[in-house]
Amino acid sequence: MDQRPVSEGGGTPNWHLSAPTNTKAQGLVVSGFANLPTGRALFLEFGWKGVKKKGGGAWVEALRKVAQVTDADGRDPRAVAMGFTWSGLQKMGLNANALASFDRPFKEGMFQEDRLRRLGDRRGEDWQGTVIPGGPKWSGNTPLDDAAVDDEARAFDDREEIREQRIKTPVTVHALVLLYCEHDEAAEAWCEEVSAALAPFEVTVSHHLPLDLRLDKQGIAREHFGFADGISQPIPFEEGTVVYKDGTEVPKDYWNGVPLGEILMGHMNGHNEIAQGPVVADGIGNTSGLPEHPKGVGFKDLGINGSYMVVRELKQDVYAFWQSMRAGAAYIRERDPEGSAHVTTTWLAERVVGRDTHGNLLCPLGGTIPVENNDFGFWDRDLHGHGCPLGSHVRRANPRDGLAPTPADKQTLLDAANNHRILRRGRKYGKTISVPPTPDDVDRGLLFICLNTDITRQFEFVQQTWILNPNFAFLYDETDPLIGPKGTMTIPENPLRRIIDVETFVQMAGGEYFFLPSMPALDYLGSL
Amino acid sequence: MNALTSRDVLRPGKRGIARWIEGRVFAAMPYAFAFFRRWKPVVKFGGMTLTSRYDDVKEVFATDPVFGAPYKAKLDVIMGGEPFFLGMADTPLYHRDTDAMRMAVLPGDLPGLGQKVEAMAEAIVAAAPGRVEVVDTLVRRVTFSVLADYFGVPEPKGGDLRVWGTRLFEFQFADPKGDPALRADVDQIAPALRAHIDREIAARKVTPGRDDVLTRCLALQKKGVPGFSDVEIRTNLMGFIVGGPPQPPMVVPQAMEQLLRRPDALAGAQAAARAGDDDLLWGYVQEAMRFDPLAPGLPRNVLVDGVIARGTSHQAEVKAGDTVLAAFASAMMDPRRVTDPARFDPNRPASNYIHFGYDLHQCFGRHINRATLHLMLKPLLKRGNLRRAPGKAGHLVKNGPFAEALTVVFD
Amino acid sequence: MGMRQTTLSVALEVKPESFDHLSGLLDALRDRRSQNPSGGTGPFADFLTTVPAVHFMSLTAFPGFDYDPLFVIEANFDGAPGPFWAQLETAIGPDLRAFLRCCKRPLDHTGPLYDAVTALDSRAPIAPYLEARTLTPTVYHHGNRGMTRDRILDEGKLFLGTRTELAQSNDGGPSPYRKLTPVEIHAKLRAALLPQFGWLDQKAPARIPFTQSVGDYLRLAWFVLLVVFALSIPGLVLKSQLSWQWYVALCVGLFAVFTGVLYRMGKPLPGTATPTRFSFLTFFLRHLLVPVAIAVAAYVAIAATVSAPVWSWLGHKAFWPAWKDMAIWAAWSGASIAVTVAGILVWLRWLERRDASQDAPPVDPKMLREMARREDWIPQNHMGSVVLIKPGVLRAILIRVGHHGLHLLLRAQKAARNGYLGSMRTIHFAHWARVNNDSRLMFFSNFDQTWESYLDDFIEKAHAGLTLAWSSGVGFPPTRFLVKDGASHGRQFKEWARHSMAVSRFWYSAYKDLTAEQVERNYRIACGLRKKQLSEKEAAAWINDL
Repeated sequence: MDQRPVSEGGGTPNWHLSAPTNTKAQGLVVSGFANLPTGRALFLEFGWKGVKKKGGGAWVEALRKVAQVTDADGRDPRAVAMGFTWSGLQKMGLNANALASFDRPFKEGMFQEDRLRRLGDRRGEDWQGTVIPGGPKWSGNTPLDDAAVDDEARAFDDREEIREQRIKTPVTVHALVLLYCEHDEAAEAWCEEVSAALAPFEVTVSHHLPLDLRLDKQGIAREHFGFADGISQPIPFEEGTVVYKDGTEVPKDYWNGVPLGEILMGHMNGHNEIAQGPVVADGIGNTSGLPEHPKGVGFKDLGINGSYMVVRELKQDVYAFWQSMRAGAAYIRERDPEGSAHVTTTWLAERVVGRDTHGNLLCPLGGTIPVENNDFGFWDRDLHGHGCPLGSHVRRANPRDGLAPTPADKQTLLDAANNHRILRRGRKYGKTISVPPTPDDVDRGLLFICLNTDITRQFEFVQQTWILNPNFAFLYDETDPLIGPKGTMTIPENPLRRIIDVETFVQMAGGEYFFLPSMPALDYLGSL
Repeated sequence: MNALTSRDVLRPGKRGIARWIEGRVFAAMPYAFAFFRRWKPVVKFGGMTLTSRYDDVKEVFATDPVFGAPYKAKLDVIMGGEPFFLGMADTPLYHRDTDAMRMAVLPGDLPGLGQKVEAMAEAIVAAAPGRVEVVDTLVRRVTFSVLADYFGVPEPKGGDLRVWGTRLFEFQFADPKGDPALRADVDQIAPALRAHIDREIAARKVTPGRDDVLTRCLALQKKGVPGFSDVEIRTNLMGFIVGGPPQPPMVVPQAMEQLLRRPDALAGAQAAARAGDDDLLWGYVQEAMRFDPLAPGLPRNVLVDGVIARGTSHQAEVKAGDTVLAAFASAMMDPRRVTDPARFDPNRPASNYIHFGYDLHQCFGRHINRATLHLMLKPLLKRGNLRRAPGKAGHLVKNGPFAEALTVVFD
Repeated sequence: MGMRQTTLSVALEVKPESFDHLSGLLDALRDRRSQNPSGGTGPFADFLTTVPAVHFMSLTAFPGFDYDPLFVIEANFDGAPGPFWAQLETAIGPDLRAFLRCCKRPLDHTGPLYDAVTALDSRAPIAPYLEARTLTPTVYHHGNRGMTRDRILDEGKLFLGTRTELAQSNDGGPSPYRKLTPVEIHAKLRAALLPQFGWLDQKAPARIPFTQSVGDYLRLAWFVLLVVFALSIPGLVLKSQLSWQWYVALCVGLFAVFTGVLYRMGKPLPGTATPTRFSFLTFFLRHLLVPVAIAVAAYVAIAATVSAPVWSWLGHKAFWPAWKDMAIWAAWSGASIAVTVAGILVWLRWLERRDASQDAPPVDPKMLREMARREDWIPQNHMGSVVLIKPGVLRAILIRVGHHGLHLLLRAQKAARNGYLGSMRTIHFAHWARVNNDSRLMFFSNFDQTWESYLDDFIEKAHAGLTLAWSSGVGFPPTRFLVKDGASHGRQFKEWARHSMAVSRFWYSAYKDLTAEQVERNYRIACGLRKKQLSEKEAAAWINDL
């Protein structure tokens, strides 16, 4: 879900980071590299056994020689971003105390038992329908931590030990490198160059995905189901740090503004605190490039201007989607032959998404809000969801002020919703399906990537409290019709709502939380 | 008159003013209980201690090492000295015997018993000319026929099991003062019933009968399971005949009377009967019984010095040899534990009822009761325009603790 | 009949040596509920019939840090406590007795009762002990006030019934409902459901009976009058000693000094400010000015009426002149309330600026994991927390008066009666109570959605009220005037809350897939269907809930 080329310079101009932050943060923070339509995601695995005492970061330096990680100070002819899993940092020999200073979700990994339940991927022993059959292919395979089992001996303790499950995937990912360039051939050659550079360090590409914007004739990037993608991003603000191209300050956007600390560690976040990041004790390795930590005396700030990158490989079944939409539309027509002239397969698919295929927001009485305009709430325009259904994907992904119980609460609810925004940087992978869609064996989908500083409050909240919440917006027993599990969807309409069945179209094939280091932090990790 | 050949199930009751006073005393009891619950939850009258609160009644029933069941002496008369589990304390023998009986009286029998009861009650009501007497004609006939058949005890030659069983029951449970005339009857009936069952056992050994409790006991005896000697089988069957079937003719007509007093409840029970919702119907009958249960309370003998309601403001000491009356009728009306006790509510939780006692000597037949009592009334309740018979016959008449007659009419 | 709901807790100190054992027993009871952690089938499902009063119940063992561990039974149920305890004892009596044996013998008059209940082989009923140890909540909140459990379940079934009817009527062909107007849809749906839901023909019981409402308003009014009286006492005393000129001069002078000090002290300490749209002045003008004026006027009138007979007797005056004297005196003292309040605020702010807040409350990762293991199986979750109460006279008064006022307000305020706290209606039952001889504050909540979203709601939507109720806790993030900042320090507040929590080892919900909002939605649908006919306007609103 990349920033769309069409919206670039559209409704709101792009934001930038001012100096010196623009040379500290990775370029991925400020840009989805829409000017570089081709890309590769290389999932790296470290081949060595155990933890490296020395030289664990040497491969990073070697990699940067052939694929320099892009910073945020402007366009480059090709771009690179990289992140590390907790298990990767551990193997590279990052100090144990520094490893302990990361946020809990990152330390525990996405595949911690309870987290998988909250994310809707697994309950108890069973993978859910929204995961590819047989379970996901890859993750960081984060080891169980000390909290996983309470085996501490205590006087007067006669309780049974409860041992947490360790959930493993066949492929282990220690780091992720994202390469962006203009042509596919160049990308292929570049990948080989990178693989060759990494080989001497026992670092291999254990999994890779070709990433693609693949603009259509109108210059719109569409995800595989055929909908314009990458619409509606949060707009960060921070005095002196977030600016427009001409250097003027980006004011707090009423509808989509979030404090920079929601995206970058070390900055003030939406909960009136400095977004926490990892630290390392001064003198453990080459810490000279890192700034002092503002609170921990004797510690360097490893996190500032870095971020957490949530990655999930989401496989899309395009044929099943349209098939299900066709069946749903047919069902509506069968139940309501006289009042359903407007109900087509596409009409239904648009209700599921909440926007039309061009990205315009659905409004009551058949109107739309053009895709360029992202300044709107739901309360005033579409309280009951007669245009954009209450449970549609876009309303679940960002309810704006739509959940307010009374008009007086609109502002509070909008502000609250903006404390749970994520900056999306995903791209699709796999061949576009034929028109009309026919079943094939092609692996296609979205490599979902988003940046946030508080994984629990941002990504996990969105996934659990909005996307997969069976009671979202006073609905009952239904989840996101697009990316949730098989179930029902309510389409409010006058006089009576319609309820249709929807199937599972999107399945998770792998995922993990990554640390997206700042440029100085990357230098530090390279020096390990 | 010979007790063995008598056809009068109940002995002649009090007459005239004495009967009127008895009726008033029973009618005043709920008010007395309310008074005692509030002001003197544990009260002593001479050697008898009355407990009226829910908590204390349950405590008395539950604390069998202190509050023993007082049944042994009279049981010995009935059983000819053979031990029956109702008279035992919490001993291994008690558990052996109750467990043994649970091998012969099986949960799987309950649906069948229910069907038989309902079918027979239906036949009686169908044959009645729009008017039926509930105590004897309906409930007693159904109960004794179905249960005696189930236990495998046939009618004695020249005698009537209903008379024998009820007379022994009265002696065992409803004769606190020890009426010599009653004792004289018992001295005739008890040996006769023992001999009658012995003969049946002997006969069954020669010609095996259908599948009933006796047949199962004999099969277990053959397998050498302890607790199934001839005498033990006889004692248990006697216990069942004496302790079981005499009770439904008391409580079921009483429940009917309570329903007749409450048109809404009666309508609800009839609706449940017609809809075939047996669980709800049970709820109605059980709730109706709460307003007039089997007895005001059950006595217990204090075996060792003890304390009732220890630690509370009304704690009271009891001495070995005292008698405690655990007034479960009062307990079921205690607003401290029973929500809005005066309201008729067929959906009350199980904890509101102590009909079958509690803990060790909780009624052995409670599952059979749960499966059959409401079905005795079901065919009647299904009838349209069910109402009291005109005049006195339409109101329940009691003879001491026993229901004597209640006539209803229907279309 | 509307039935009252009861919220209560029983807090018992645990023998430290038996704490782990108790935790194990609680886990075992929970496991017995069913193999599936989300509940449902299994031997414990009959809790629904054996304890029909209960909505939500939890059993928690708080580990001991400042005190010995604490075992808490938290229960929210229909009707009076007595029957509930009887039901609970019937359901899990032997387990309860085993739990009580892990608790310390109380040192007060309930000691003998404890002995009776926990003695080896004891068969004494447990309910009297639990009754004797029951705490009264200082504040509680009900999200679906006046809805009995059975009504919630019945209306939930009705909701599913409407769905089935609408989906399956003339299955396979055109739905007969689609051609109808809302009024007709209502009539047809009602006719279709009536055979199955006979109770639709009965009048809906009032959720909050009239007498209860009157009681709620009267209690609040009485409380406000008492507070006004208490605040006017300094004025009463001074006015009796001073001429009016001196009195006015003193009041104006003190008020000027206090406000000046407050202006300086009112600013947040560096680094503790959080942006907020909340302004005391706007709040006062918009919501408080009129009620305060009315309260003071009522106070003057009532005080004069009550004291006039005495004064007329003492001063040998007729009633009306005496009444007038008293009214003038009370009115003068009423004017001083502003000064008294300003003085108290100065005192409060002085304390707040010296409060030690805990920037990084320690959270035990193992405990956190045990909580995570039990959370998020169903759309509802549970939390229990205990915090130390800040010391000092003013704090002691504020926590009592503040909590009592908050409690009465939540019973009387329209939004709270409808289940809202601020702009959120995600709480089924929540309450605060003081434990450990009033030195600690306990909080329990049964809420919808995740713990994170619940806490975020507090931070983002109800931070003022929450800060008011919890800022008396030791270590709470820095606050201003009891309601500002505080909970707005998101992560710090969350860590503080987690730090104070214990694992909800046993937790039971009688309607696990119904959120508070859904209960209200079902209620609205049921109310509509109970009516034989809806007007066009009513039907248009009603049909949005289907």
